[in-house]
Amino acid sequence: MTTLHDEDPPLSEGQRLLTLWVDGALSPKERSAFDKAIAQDPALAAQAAQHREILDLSRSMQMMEPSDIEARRFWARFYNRSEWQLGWCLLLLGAATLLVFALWQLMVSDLHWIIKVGTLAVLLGSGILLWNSFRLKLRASRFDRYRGVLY
Amino acid sequence: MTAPAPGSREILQAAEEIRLVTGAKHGDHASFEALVDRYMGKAVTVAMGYLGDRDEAMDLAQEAFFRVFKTLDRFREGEPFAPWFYRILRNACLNHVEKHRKRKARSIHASGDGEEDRPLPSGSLTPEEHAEASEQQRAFWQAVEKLPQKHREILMLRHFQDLDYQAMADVLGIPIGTVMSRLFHARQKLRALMEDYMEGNS
Repeated sequence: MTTLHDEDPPLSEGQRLLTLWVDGALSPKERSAFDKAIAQDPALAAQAAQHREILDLSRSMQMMEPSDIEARRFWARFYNRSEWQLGWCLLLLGAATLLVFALWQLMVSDLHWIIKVGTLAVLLGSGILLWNSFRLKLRASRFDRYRGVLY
Repeated sequence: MTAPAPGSREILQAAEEIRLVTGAKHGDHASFEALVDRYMGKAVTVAMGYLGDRDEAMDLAQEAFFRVFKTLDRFREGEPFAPWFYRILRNACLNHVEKHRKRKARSIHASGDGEEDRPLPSGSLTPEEHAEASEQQRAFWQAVEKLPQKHREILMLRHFQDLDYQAMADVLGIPIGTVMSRLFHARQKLRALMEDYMEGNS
């Protein structure tokens, strides 16, 4: 399997100059010398033409500009994300606080045991579901290898 | 080795970009939105090179812009924006590819090569031109998807974003010599993969 780290063989001087020529990065003097080399070497000329052809073909491809609908959806979701993150944090924090308080109140109250058991089950079920959502978010964040990589 | 001298249009665009980045960094949403508009098509195209799927490319472009939005205060003023942005986009794409590699492999295996439904960029072409362009685009993206990832990304950065060698080296964290070597071999492979199509249309 090819990975990002499998390196290609190093370039010969001719290949290096060809790459620079295709990208228009040769100095006028180097370019003139390379043009002469192309004129004298049909194989080199064919290779240079093929590389140029690929560059031209790529640049003739249209950029994937989003449609109006996609752009509207993009911006709607974009600003929602910040609010969504803050909302989730506050919701989880508040829910956890209320859950603990409710459990405590349940234990010290004089309610019938059936109500206590039912309420306890509802509270524990809610707690498990909230914890599950939080753990999924935490896990997704922890395994984001590039989360801190900006430079 | 020389880089072509920038024309007055490029200089104006660079000055405008600096203004937008500075504005966005200081909390001006209009500047940030203009910056996103400027880079959106390019970002989706680059992400498409990594992911091969337009919808996923849109999502990852959004992810990259979101990270930019949240971390713009850490951007060093005076540095070019494009390499910084493409580094963030690349990281988001690589992360996504890694997470979904197994799922994607299963889905490609289950549905053949998965190319027939690939959506193509929209444009204002006649039906005939559109059919021809569609065929060309489909052939191109099919060939790109068969390239190793390192070759796909170098082609995206050079051919679509027009980054120079130094900027590509910065984005990818590799020496300039490796940039040139990857670029050369990427073009060779892409040309070989498109041999039939190009011979048929020459």
